Amino acid sequence: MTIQLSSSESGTSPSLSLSLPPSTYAKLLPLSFLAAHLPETRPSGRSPSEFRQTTLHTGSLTHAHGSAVVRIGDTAVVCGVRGEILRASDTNIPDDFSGDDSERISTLGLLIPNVELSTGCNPAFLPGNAPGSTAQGLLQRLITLLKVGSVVGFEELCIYEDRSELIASDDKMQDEPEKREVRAYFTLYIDILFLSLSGSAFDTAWMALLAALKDTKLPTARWDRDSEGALCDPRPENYKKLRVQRFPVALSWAVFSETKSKLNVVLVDADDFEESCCDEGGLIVMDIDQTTGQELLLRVEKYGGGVVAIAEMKTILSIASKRWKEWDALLKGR
Amino acid sequence: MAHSVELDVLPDADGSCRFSMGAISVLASINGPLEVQRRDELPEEATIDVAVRPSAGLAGIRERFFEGLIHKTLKQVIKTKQFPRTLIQITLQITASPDIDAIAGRPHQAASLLYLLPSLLNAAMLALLCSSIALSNTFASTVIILMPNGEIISAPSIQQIQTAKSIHVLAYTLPGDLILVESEGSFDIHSWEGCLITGKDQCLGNLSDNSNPASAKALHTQFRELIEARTMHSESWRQNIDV
Repeated sequence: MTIQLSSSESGTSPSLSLSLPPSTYAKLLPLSFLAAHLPETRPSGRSPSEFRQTTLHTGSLTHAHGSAVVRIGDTAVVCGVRGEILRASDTNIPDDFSGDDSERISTLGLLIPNVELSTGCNPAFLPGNAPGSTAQGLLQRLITLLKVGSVVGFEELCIYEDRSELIASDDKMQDEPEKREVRAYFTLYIDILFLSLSGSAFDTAWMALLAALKDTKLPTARWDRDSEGALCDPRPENYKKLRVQRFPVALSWAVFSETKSKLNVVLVDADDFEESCCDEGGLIVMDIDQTTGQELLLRVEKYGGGVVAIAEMKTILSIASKRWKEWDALLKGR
Repeated sequence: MAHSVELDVLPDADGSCRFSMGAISVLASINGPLEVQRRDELPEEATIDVAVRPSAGLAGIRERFFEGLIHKTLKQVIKTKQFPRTLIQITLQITASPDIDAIAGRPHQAASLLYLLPSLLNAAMLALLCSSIALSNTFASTVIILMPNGEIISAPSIQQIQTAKSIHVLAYTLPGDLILVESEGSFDIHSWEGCLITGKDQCLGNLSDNSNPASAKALHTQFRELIEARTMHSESWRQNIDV
């Protein structure tokens, strides 16, 4: 396909045919290139309200307790989860701690995500550099969403000491003591590596994190009183699947605004090129209640520009619930 | 939670302001247009550099996250095209914050502390108004919380924020465009809509209801009065009057 410029633009001589391939046109005049496609379709052939298909592979890393490779368009992310043991005696959580489970997890630091963008995934991020502001911003969003969404239950990460024998041998004990006591925790290190980045970084990273957590199998561990340490059962058949409580879905979007033609289009799941042309953008994280079917929001983010208001957000939410169904099917292996 | 503002607190900065709200206090300074490092130079517009410094310790991922949001918001109001190949430097020093976690040296897993964001944004906005940098618009930012019983509270206290179900940081420009939303927690679209309307009233004032304008002055009106008083003061020599 070539784009023929009109004779007024191509100069005075009509014999000189100046034609450019679309990729050159996109590089020279990115904004008008995108405006020429919109509002019906995007350069990739998608409609503005269409998100890219997500593909998922789990368990490809052998040394991690759980792993996933997620690809959305040209954005590909690998996530590995590894459990380490944290002794309760090494933590300094107060006895009268009043917070709920997710606050307990974040105070103890039991879920530790990390985002690596310096892998050569995109020319904007030099490989081998320290994490820049984009990586740190992504990480901050992941940490808060893990907390707000109560994705992993606190019980799942506790390692107990079985005290039933002690109680049986000590009949004189007056009050009913706890049958088991938490002596250690599993800390999950969640490492997210971007193999390739072309827009929707958060969506892909979040999906990879969820899928890797769902794939995670931790060894059954118990506290050994004699050695004062946690003992893990090495037999793979005794590994226990980590239960993930919720699977909230993330959908990012961008708004392309052109003042000349008063064009304002919401581009859902924008790719790299589209993101670079847009000032306004945002992110929505939602979940659907399995029993009531109600749509619940966990995070709404919007920055730059004032195009998107309540009505547009409702449309974005309905698109996000479509993605919820896609991700739900993927995660359940249907 | 009422706020207090002091303008021009730093004598050598191009624009500065101290913005305090409850237990939060932010000192903002603006310098620019300055010479920009070759690496950051943009051929057609000014580079905006935002630095957020916490009250204790070094800046971490949370500050980077704030910087990113503030940068995107300020880019909407600063006429960057008027100062190509220059640098506009914005430093926001949090001088007091009720954030106990950061002092204990555990900033990594702490909550995102979104309630700091409106103070940072408002401080930056007022400092920009004090500097000589061309702006296309002004904005005001506020925080709204949603309680477990569905009650919407504007200008909440820290204790209320800790028990809230969701927290919403909003920024509105003067024509009423919503330029920033950061909502976190658990909520549905209808309550979110309610928060947006309450936030708009906070920032711009309730335009339909003028029954008691004295009780709750909109943030924009308050900012306007501050800048008016400052301009009167700095122009007084011209009129040869005492202000």
